[in-house]
Amino acid sequence: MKKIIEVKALKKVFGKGERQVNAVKGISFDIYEGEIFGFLGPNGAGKTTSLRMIVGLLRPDSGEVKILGENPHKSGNKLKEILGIIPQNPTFYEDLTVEENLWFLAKIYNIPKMIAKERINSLISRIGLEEKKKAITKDLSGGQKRRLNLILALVHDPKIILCDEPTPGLDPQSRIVVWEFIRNLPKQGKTVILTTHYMEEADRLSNRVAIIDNGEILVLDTPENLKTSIGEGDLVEIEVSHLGDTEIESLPGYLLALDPPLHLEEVSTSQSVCTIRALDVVPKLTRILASIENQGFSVNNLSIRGTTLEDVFINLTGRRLRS
Amino acid sequence: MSVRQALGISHRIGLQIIRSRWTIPYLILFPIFFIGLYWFGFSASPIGENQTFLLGIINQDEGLTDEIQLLFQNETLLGNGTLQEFHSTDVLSKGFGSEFVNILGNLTYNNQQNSSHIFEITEYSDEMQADSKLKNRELDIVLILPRQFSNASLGILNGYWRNSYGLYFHEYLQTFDASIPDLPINISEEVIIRGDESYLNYQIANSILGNILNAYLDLTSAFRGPGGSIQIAMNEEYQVSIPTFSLFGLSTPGLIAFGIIMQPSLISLFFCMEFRPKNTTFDIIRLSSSPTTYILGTFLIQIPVMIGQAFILFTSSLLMGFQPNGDIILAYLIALTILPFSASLLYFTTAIFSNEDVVGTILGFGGPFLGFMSGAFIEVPKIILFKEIIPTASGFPRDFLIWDLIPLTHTVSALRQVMLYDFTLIQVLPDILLSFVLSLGFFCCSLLFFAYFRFWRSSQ
Repeated sequence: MKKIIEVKALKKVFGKGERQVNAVKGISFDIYEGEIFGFLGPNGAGKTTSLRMIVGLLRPDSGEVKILGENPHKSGNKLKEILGIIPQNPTFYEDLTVEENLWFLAKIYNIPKMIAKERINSLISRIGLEEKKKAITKDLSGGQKRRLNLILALVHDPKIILCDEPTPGLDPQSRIVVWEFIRNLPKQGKTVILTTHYMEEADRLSNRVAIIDNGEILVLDTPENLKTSIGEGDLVEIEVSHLGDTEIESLPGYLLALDPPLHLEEVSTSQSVCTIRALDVVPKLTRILASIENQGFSVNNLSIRGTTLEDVFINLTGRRLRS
Repeated sequence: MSVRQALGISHRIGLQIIRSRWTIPYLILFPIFFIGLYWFGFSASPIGENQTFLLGIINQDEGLTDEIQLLFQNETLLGNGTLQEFHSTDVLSKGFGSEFVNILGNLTYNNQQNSSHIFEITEYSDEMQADSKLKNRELDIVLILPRQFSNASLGILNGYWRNSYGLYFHEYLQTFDASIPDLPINISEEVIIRGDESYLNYQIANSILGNILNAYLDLTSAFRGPGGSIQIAMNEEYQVSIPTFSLFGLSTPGLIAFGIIMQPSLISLFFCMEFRPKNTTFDIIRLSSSPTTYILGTFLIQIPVMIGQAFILFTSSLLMGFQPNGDIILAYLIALTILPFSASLLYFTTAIFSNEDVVGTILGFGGPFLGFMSGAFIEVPKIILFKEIIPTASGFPRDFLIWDLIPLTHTVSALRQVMLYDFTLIQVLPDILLSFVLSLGFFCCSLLFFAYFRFWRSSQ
């Protein structure tokens, strides 16, 4: 696959002295044509800063970005036409209609009138805003505004789309529309860089995911590889109440030491939840639950799920994504 | 830079202005309200009424040549007494210049309340001395009558004769006696009026003096032809319309300028909305166009808004009783061409350094502040930066004051001189040029600052 973006040792520091924040600490990665590259990390991890440096809106303190071999900070207008950015916050003017906002961008990107007309109609139709195209933007619902924000970046038909947190606050229906829209972009020959703190979003949409925290890329791989990297099997989460004298922290040791062994991959506890990862976990559940109750705990709730990127993040940082 | 991109930006701001609930009422009602408030408060406050102005005169007139004097003294020449009345005036012996000085000295305000003299005249032989008095404001205005004033005046009379009867006066006389010499024709001489153009007394006195000179020329046309007496009755009834000014009238050009500078602030407000925290519209602008395009786009939208504003302001002031003494079309053109440039100072400074809150403050204080400092409402104190460097139509260079750094000062001055004192385009050209050059300078600086602050530094 063709390398479309190269990022080498990118660094950014904000503030000075005691207020100094190392927002991005020398990240490096490559992005290939036609892939959806996910940046997953909690708020403040450095995702948006990295994105702004890649697109040329923010100058790095050191390191290098190359888009199709060009430095976006030195390329003048060369790269402007191939980059489309969908920021977290609205990029539309609330006093204008949906159509007027799109036409405004078509004009400032110098798109010929006929092409612009066709493209605007197509985008409005694809994102499902036909009925709202004459509506003043401030009268749209939150989901409709998000959808408009998305297509505004596509008016000039960019090759690379940088999508910064596209779905926070969206209702499930709008989220699915947005996900479908993003998922289809590579089919139109576009490369997408997606930042998100929703593991499900990164998991579902990205071909590769970089997990970023405190300005550093912790891991970078396909979602599947990342998930299997922390171990095989499904996860059982058991919520317990404490009845006897035994502390919940003693449960992992007890379960792992059972004889005959249950062959559990991993057991951990957090507050009142005991999390167990094991291969072929369902037949083992009866013995697990009985053992827990033997220790003086009552089981309140139980769920079984596959490994998620959140588990990967917890495994790497010891924290949850949203904590 | 692309014009289409700039027009796209203009169109977008235009739509925002139209859609905004309060913008249109603000643009329309504010000027009417403002002019109305001034009219209500100050239309009955006359300025300069019955005031005696201190006029210094340097009369360099050499009078008529002996030959011409002799001609008119030769009563037997025509044998019919035709020149009798002409001879009876002092014009022949003293010259037209002295006669004109007498006229000026004798002029009084013809109203029932007051019959005071319009001018208190002091004659000087030394220009330097008069100029020095002018600088110290011991004189309001200085009039220099040139050496050929009499001959030029006679030339005008001669011209009138030809226009009326097809022959110059001397050609008419030569039909009786071929040896009669030719009289002057089309002698071009300039009457010089000097004064500090920023000084109110000068402005009013100049306006009055201008009217008197025009009336004087009209009077010489009363020179009657064959069959009647030939006279220039300068000592007789001399009616001059004296322009009257009220505080409202004097303030109107300033008010118009002020009304117009308020709307670029409004556009700045739309402009600065781009820089709201968490507003990423400007990121898109930065990724799609250059600072020049963006500035041009926001600047272009001012033109139709400003034309509308100027129209409202002029019409309102006229309807409320403002009587322009000068060329209203020229004033209108100045307001529509130079004023947008001078207003750009406030506009771009606002846009570059401010966020919405600051623009709000500037809307409240910056506009009136610049309005006052540019002398739109009151005469500002004289804080001189450079002495006598600004050329004026009168040839008497004026000082460059600190307020002259504000392009609006010159626009207001040009507007006032045209609307109130009937200055011509040539006379206000120095102010127009200064306003244009200063505005252009500020525009370029602003563009650099804008590119630095909004495009370059924001990426640091």
